Amino acid sequence: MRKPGHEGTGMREPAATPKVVAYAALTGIGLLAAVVFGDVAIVGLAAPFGFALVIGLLAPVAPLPEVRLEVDTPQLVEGGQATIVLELSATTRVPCCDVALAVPAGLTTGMPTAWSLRLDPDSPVLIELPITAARYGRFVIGPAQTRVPGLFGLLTRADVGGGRLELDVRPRAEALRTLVRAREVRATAGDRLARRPGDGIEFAEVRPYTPGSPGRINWRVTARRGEPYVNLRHPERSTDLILLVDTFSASALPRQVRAAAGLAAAYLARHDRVGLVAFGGVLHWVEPAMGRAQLERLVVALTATEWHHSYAWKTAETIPSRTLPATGLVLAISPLEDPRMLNALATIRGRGVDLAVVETIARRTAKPGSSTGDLAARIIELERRDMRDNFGRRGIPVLGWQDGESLEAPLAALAIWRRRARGRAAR
Amino acid sequence: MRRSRRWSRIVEATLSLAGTSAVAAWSLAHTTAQLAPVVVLAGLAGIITFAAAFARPLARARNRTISTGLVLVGVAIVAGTLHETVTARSGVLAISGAVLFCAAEIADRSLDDPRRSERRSGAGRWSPAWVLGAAAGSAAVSFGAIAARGLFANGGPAALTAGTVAAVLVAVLAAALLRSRAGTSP
Repeated sequence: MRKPGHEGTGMREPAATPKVVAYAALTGIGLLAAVVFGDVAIVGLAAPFGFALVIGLLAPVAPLPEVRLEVDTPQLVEGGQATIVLELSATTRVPCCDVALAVPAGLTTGMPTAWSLRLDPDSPVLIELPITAARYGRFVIGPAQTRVPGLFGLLTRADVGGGRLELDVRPRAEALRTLVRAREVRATAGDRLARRPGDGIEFAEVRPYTPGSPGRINWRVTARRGEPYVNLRHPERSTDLILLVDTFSASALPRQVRAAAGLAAAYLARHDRVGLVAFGGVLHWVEPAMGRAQLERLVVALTATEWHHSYAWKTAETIPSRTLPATGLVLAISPLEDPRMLNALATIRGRGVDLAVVETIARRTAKPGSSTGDLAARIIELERRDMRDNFGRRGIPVLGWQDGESLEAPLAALAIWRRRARGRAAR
Repeated sequence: MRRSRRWSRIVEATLSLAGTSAVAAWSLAHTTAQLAPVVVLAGLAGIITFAAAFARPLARARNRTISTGLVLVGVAIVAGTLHETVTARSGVLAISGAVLFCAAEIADRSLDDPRRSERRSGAGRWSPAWVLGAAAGSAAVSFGAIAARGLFANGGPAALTAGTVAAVLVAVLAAALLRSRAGTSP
């Protein structure tokens, strides 16, 4: 996971700091004043600065140490901990070396990330920095900045070293039991019971035998009725699930990514095909497939999912058609705030795709008891209700998912909604 | 650790401000009535500017702020010692220069420390011996040079002593410098 970076060579030439200009200016002003006023005593006022300037510029600056940067694990799950090890070694005595390591936002540490050290030859210094992954993402740690100041801080050697470390923090997936199946199943075997009877394990019904009908003869019923009857069973088939993640909203994205990771793991465990479309400022997708390799592909894609600001009008036409199979269930996870996402959902449904939406609802931030805040919240809620009704009329169920609530709740509600819709269609 | 760093920063800021204020106050105490407003204004402005370097918004331009403060305090000292005798004035200006230099070094050291950093034992960014040596040495050299100038104009044994001490100090500092350069050269 180490990328070849700019290693600290310790050969960087000393550079003058702004202090040199300041001391030179003070010395110059003192000397100039002495000349202008013809008063040699003024030189005494500026002499220490000039003296320090000469000594500081003549004194050598110790070479930069060699820096080595390591992390004990290249992968973490959100909330997990890792330790970054920074090793500094010098060939000569360095009275003071300033080292700073930039820890990217998303990784937290309770310790300082800058150190002032004394280095002795042949005794490397090890610094261990424990970090906690606060959120998912792909993080780059390093390189470390090193600085060795000279006498009076007038000259300094500075460099970056240690290379770059990549740390993948995977989204923490929720274990799900309630899953919603697609309206139609695929021809390949899986864990889902097809509604149409055929070959399988789960008993479906007893039917009179017709030539070519699947199933085995039910001898008891055949003997009782005097004509051949067969037992029909539900075949086990797989389904397609496409996770459509809205990346237009930065605040809702972490929850959505976690939800998508949980859904992908749960569906793939049941031998379904799962695909991913991250729809937002930047579009990226993973075509549906099954198996452990697909889970890895999906988690890697979700880890890299980020919010990108964009004014471009994105439509569903930009999504490759092969990522949205006609027989699959498209499960959109979105806060339903961006009109481009709403338009894309309507378009996808218009193509006859089986679509459901899990709406991520953020915690209310308005102060309780604030009349303006209450009014704004009521107006927003009315608008959202109207939007949900509109989607409902188009056959798109929208299930609210409150912040802090398990994803099981909206999935269970979705299952009930679909069962009722099927019942209504049958009547 | 963080608490002690904060205290050390407070002590350093207090020390440097106290040194600057002391020389400004001394010059005010010895000034004539005519020049008193100049000394007061320049001294106050200098101390305020010097203190402003410790404020966070000016941290990036601290060298310029400290220099401006020192120039203003220097103006106050020069104005405040105008009526003194040449020898006394030379001594006062040399000592003031040394005090201001120490104040500037302490302030710079205090501001150079990153706030969220850990200082491990033995790490010495700043050597008090070097700063005091530079301050005392340069003060002695400048005073000695001025006194030696007086010696050539029939100066007394004091001037001769001062000149000799200054020459010895220069030699010691040069030797120390050459030795350290030879020892840590990359």
